[in-house]
Amino acid sequence: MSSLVEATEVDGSERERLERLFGYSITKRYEKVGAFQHIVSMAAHAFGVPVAVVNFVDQEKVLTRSAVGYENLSEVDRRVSICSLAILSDQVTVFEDARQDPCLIGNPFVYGEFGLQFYAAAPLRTHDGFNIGVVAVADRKPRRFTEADVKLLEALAAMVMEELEEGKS
Amino acid sequence: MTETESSESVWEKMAQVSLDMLCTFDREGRFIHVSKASKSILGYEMQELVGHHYTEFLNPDDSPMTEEITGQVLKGAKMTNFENCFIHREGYLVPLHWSTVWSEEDQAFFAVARDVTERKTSRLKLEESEQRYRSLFENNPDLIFVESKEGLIISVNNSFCDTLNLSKEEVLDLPASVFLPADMISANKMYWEQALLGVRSRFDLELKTNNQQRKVFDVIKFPVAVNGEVIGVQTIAKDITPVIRSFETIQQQAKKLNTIFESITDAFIMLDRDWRLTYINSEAKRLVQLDKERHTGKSLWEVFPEQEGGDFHQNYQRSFDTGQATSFTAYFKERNLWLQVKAFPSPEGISIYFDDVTGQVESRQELEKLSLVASSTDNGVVITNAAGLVEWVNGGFTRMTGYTLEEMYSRMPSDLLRGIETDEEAIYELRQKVSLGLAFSIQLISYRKSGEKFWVSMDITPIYGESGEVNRFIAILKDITFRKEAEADLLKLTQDLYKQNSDLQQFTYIVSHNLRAPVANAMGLATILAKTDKASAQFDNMLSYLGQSVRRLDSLLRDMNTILSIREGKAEPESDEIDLLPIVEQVVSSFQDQLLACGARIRKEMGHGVTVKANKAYLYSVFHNLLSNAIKYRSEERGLEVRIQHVGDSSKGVMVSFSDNGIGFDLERAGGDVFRLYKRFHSERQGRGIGLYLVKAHLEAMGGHVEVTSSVGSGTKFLIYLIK
Repeated sequence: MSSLVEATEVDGSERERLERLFGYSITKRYEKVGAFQHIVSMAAHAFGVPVAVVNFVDQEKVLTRSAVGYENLSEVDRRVSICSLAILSDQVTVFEDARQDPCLIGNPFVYGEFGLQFYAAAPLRTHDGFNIGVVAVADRKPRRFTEADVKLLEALAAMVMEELEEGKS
Repeated sequence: MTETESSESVWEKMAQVSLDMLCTFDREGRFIHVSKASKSILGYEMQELVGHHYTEFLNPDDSPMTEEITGQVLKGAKMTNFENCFIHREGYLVPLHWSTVWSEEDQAFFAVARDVTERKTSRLKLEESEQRYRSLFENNPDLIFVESKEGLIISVNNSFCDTLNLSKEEVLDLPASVFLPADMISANKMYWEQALLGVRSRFDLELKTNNQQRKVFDVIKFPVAVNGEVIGVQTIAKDITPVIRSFETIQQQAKKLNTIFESITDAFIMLDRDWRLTYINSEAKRLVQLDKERHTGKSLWEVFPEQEGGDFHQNYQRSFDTGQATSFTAYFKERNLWLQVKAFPSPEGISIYFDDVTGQVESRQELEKLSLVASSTDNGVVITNAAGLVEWVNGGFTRMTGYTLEEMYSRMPSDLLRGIETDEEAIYELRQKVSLGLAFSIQLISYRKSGEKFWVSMDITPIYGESGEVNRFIAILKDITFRKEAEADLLKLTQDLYKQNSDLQQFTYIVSHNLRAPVANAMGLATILAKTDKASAQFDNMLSYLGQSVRRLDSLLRDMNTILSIREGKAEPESDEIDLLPIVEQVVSSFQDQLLACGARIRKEMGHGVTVKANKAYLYSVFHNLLSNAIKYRSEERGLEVRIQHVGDSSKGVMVSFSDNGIGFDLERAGGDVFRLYKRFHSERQGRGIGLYLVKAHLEAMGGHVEVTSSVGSGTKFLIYLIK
């Protein structure tokens, strides 16, 4: 199994990132009718994709907090989740055709039963610059993802953060 | 001439004509006188010999013997019968037979020599032929013995001794009974007696050989006669054991072959080229009552006269003529059977395998009868085997689908008929049912050979064999395109009616709901105006609000006209490129008085130029209802805050968020029913469900979408998606 993120060692910045993450009221419980369900539902509708998720990346696992079209897995090992790769960037991560991308060779989501071929994720970025998770959309066929789409996905990520901040206060 | 002289001259003359050589020698052996025959016998003239010693002409090998004899003759013996060889002038040996005497008075040997070359040659020939016979006798590989007239063995050959491990001494002068097995002694005696009477006999004899092997001999016994008189009996015994053994092997193989033929589960017969039965196995006996004992050797047409010239005959004949194997199925009338026959011709005849296929043929005939019935109907009929592969289709099927039997044969009907719109689930179900052998009906979109789409209804029935297993399926196909189209039309009509009805409902709600607010507003303002000092600034203010309310009413009425016009014909609402912000502002101002009254704050995070493809009336209705709801369900604990935010654009649409800080509702309890048209109004406040229903209905009518989230006590958030 190829490992997207080798280092799960808790260095200084990772500790800070985890502190931010744990600061929000994110339970491990997967809620279908959750705080972000309208966001993932709308994302799936607006981008016309079968899969949309709000995922958080903790020390070892990637936790799915809200999802459309992704009912079976509520947490995935951080080393194989593509979302753990997406939080490494402050930009939107896009794989328009995952099978053409060398970063994902052997990834079980791409080459396994799930058959992922398109993936786009906007990081969930705290006001002080830590990426604690993503809003992601995915499809089982390759797709185009325009600049406008990128903006909209970022806006949806911002909405998630806004709601998190509201929940905190 | 004296008497002596005359007698001398007579002798002289006689010596001259004698073929024998007359000669005299002196004591030492020198020629004194030689007659003329010397020339013809030895090639020398008389003068060449006279005075020479005889040994000069004698074969040196004969010299000692001749010397001895002459010694004896000198002593007075008369030798009349000895032979030696002289050397002819040409160098070859001449055998001479001598008669000689010594005359003391004449002091000379008188000798007569006869050339015995010829006699000698014939004697040699005799000896040779005797030896040849001997050799033939001795070296003959057959066992040979000769019995005398007395019944004693007088001669046996080497082969006899070697084979029976007996020496000549052990059998000579004894009767044959010494070596014959007990059971053959009397037979041998009988044949021996017959041979003595001049009759030859032939019989088989089994003997134990030197190495204790039993060998079989073919024996000939015949008389040996000399000048017509039987002097003995010769017996020649030929070892025919290998022949016997190979014959036995042949018999064994024949037996084995017989076993093989019998073990063939097919019936099997063989005919020679004259149609005579040469072999019949037991299965053939069982099937067509041919009997090995009674019928072998008889012509097949003799046994079954009615078949002569019939199907079987013709097929075999053809096979004979072409030398090719043949196989065919034909009716065998005598036994009321259908036989499947395979025939293999050979130079000796023909081998025929056959099997009873009456059951199969009957079921095929039944199928054909069935087909006959089916072929005249307009419905398509398909008959498949148990695996679902086509065996037969009728003309109706070909007319319906364009596929002929040849094209369909041995294929799955669904493979040819399915197409892009065919329901794969239904095909799967069909195959499942077929594999379970169930009767069922199914309706499918199918495709003709021409590619034309049609609806087909299939009734599939399994046909069971005698042992209860499915052995084929019959499918009746009906083209139900017409019916399906009618159904589709009906469905469309229903949908249209439903839509119109729902439009009508919406219209009614818009009238009762959306119009209600501005009218109430206007009425309220009018009432207040009546009580207000006309000179006051407040009065002018209120008057301007009243004016706005009336204008809004007018605007709404105009929109309703649009809806009415939609109802009257167009299926889709009229869409325009609409700038979102003015609509939002229009809606907000329509609630101006209520918003003012509750001290609400409206945050519009949206610039100009955010355009969507929408129906203005619907769009107005959407925001109107959202804002109306927000006001209705505002929290008593805090001032109402409404935020209308342009979230962003995707490539195809615009997303707007509409959120408030009102009382909210329990999303889990509401579940998916938030936007449902409530029949019963909210227990405390009126109209909520209707508003949300309209929001959703109008948005979806424009190709948009809405999602909501809410939490009790903190507010409600709508996400609206509109297409660009």
